[in-house]
Amino acid sequence: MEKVLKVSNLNKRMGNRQIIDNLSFETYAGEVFGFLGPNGAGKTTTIKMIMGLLSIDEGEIEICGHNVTRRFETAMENVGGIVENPETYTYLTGMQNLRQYKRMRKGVTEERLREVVRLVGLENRINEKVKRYSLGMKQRLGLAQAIMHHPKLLVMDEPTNGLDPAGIREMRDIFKRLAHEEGVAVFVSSHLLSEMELMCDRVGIIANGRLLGVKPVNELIMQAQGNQRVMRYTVNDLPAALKVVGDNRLEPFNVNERSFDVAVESDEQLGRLGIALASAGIWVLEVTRQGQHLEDVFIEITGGGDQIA
Amino acid sequence: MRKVFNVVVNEYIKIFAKISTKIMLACIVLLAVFWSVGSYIDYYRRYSDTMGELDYEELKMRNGGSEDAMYDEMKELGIKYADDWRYEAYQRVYYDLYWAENQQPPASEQEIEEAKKRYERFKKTITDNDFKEYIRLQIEKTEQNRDMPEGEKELELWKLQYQLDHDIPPTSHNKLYQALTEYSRAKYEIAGIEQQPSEAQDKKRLGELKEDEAIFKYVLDKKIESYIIPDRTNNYYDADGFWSVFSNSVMLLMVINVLIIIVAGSIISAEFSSGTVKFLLINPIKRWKILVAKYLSVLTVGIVMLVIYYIFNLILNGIFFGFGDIVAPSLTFAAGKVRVGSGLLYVAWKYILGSVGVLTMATFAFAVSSLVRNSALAIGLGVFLMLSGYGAVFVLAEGFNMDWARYILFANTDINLIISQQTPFLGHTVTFALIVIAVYMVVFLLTAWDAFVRRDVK
Repeated sequence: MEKVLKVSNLNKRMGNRQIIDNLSFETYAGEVFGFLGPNGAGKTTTIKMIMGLLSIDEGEIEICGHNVTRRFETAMENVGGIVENPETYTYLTGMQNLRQYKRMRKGVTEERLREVVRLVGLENRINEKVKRYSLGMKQRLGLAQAIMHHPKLLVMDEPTNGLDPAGIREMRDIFKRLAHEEGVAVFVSSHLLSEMELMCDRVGIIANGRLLGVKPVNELIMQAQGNQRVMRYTVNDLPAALKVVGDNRLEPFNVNERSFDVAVESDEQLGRLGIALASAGIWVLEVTRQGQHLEDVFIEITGGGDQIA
Repeated sequence: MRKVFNVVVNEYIKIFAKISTKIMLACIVLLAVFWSVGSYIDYYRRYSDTMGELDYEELKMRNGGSEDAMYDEMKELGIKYADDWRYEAYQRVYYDLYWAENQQPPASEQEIEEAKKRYERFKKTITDNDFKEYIRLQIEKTEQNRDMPEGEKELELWKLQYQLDHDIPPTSHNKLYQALTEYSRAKYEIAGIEQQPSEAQDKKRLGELKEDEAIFKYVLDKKIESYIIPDRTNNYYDADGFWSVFSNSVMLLMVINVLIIIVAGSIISAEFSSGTVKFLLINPIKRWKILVAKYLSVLTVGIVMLVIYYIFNLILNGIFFGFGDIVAPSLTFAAGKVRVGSGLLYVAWKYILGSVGVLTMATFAFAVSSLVRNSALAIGLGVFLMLSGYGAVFVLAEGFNMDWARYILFANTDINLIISQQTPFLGHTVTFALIVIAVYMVVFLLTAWDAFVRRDVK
């Protein structure tokens, strides 16, 4: 697989704080790479170094084999992205904003601009001043800006901020299509595992400026859920159901009008609870597995909770 | 190069899409309107009654009755307009008699009698509206004058003869007459200085006078009725008309400077405060190229503003004062020869000299904008120093006798002031000023470069 982004032994200090601590990873063409970590872990700092906004204290970043510091222009020709919020010139229209970037990049035609505008779904509003855009629309405009020049590496910093659920799904689909059909390396940062799970092929986890590991996403989820999972039951007779749960030596929590959560340790426990509820004549209307918290994943990966900020 | 050009195009689109820029451009046009209208109103107030038809009742009232007899006489003679040669000539004739009758100690009967006769003869030339005869009488009178030094007399006679030979009526409204007066004044002063042992100051003055002599001789030889003589502190040859108002519009470049500082002081910091800098710098264009493009944009927008101001002043002054004088040549003296230039270029040159200071302050605001990444601070500091800088230098130099103040930037930004030698420093030359400005500019631009190209974007 073609290596698009290569980060090796990256270090960055601000004052006497080590913001990024010996970070190394690689991203390949055709994959969506998730960069997962809590707020303040160093995600944005890493992205800013990849995009040439911050200087590098030690280590190297290469994009398509071009060093970001030494061969800035060639490296940047292969990158598009959004850093933090999608900031725009609010007194210009969406299209005027895109033309600003068109002039600074190679080989972007007016035709291509219309194409990306269509792709991100802004055709109807593109000639309006950006000051009238919602955050979601700005996010879409930012995406159009990021992909107009067919970059080999697409870097998106928390791209689903401010989007409604439909928008999130659309954005997800765009990323997947760019990676899987057009062979782009998509680098997405987030602090939500649930989001990563739905769109990433591989996930790197960062905390306190250190990379804790890189894993295929399904492996990660499996690992996180190995021993314990939280199930939400919706039933017709709540008091009776709670009694059955208690009889099975389990502790219900998040008890609502018709539902409750329960943490199970194994498949056997889960199976037995099902049988017990059924034999008590309780109708189980719905059972859903609850999303894993990021913290749990960290605990799994690092083997302890100490290192989480 | 192409990349820098494209970024300049981007900057122009951003600058001119802003409402604030449109308001600024409107301000420039308004400034030109205010300047021309204001100057015209002032001009009209001062000259309308004397330039136009004369209202003797008002003239009498204004002079408190002491000259009633003279004004009545003039009214009777049918002098209607101030540019009639008789308007000035008759006043001269009248006072000649008046002083003869009223001098202390009193003149003899015979003298008064002579003065009265002379008055009658002169008055006849005015009644006949015959300025040549009037000049002939002046020649006669000058020849008989025993109090006048020989050299002066000779010059005066030459001047009168010249008027006679070239049909120049003796009125200050006639530009050839003005030139003739200035020419003989210069010759007279030159003679005076050349007779006495010369001092250093005289030498400089002598040079100026010789220039005057050459220029006015040129005017007379070529019979140029409308002309501009640049580099005078007061362009008194064209006291209030088109050219003086147009060339003095350079005084208001300060206001344009404020507008340019606003553009320069926000062009970098606005990108930081809106966060757009992150999207600007992730393009395949090195930071220094973006910086160069931004600086070029500031300079060229500044020049565009100056050009707009120039053109609007030209048009508006033309509308108010008439375009008739627009072809008047500007006369300068250099390398032993009189040079004939265009008046429009002369004023343009004044603008260029004025713009040196303007663009220096713009560069300062640009550097501060890059360094502190804060528009308000950059603009505020730029405007504050522009307004107070020269004052501070002046206080240091005049109040505290600190000659080193000449090395302060603000002592050197007003090139027009240095040319007319009105700064408080001895031997303050334009070359010196330009060197000082160049040193400061290098410092400003290096600061801007260091802050923009090397510092992290957090």
